[in-house]
Amino acid sequence: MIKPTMRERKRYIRVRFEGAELSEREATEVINAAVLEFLGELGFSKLNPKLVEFKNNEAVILCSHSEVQKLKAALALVDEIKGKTGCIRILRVSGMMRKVM
Amino acid sequence: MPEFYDVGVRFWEENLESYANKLGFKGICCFSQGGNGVEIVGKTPSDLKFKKTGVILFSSDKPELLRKACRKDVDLLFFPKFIPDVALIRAAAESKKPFEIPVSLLLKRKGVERGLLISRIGFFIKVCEKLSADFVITSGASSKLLMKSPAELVAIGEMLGLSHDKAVSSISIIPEHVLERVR
Repeated sequence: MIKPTMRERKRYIRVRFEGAELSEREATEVINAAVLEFLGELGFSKLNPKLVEFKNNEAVILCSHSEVQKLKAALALVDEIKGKTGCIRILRVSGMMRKVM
Repeated sequence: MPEFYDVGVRFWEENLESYANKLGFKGICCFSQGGNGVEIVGKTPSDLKFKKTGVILFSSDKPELLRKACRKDVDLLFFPKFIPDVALIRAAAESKKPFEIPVSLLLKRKGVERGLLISRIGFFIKVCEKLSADFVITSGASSKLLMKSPAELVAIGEMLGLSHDKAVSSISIIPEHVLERVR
């Protein structure tokens, strides 16, 4: 088992999709496409984003603690969702899942 | 906690200020009909003759015109080409006129074009910091969905090469001075 001090630090980001209604799968695709477009494959691997919860067009994304500003910038630069004008609003960032809910 | 301002909104509609407050801004400046600012697009020297009403944003592709505008009663400068013209940046620093950096320019572009623009803006900002010229990061939004929250603007500022503190001051202290000057 890995020691707690060696574990990778993480951040949870709660976001809301505005402009279109999405399913969980579509939300994952939008997030992955945004990160890949802005940061590339290397940036994506460092960021390691994972959608951990999706409800009512709001999602909680898990990512690496050191790259959180990059994820925010990548999501902020989304201006189209499902072919319509839309955006991803960042609502809250925390190191604990229950705090972002 | 600093108070945030977005001084580059390009549309106006009812309840826009309350929407901006919800996003986290204390105040906004709109450069459209009904707003509290006027955008002057400078093409010839005659465009420098204007009557001061509210916040004046002077935008031009020509550095010479912008340099002349520094000596006039304008509040913000916008140079869409982002060429690091040292004479212009020095004139802006001496007259304490900040440059506007609208995020909407990045949103409009994709792929290579966006990458090149980020690099150009990043270098422009670096020269501005070296010559002590001010700049403000704005949303440049043309609709509610394209408006950005302060946290998003700070994150984009950091991607452009700014330190966290500098990114925060470019959406708080500097735009506050611009709005205070007009009041």
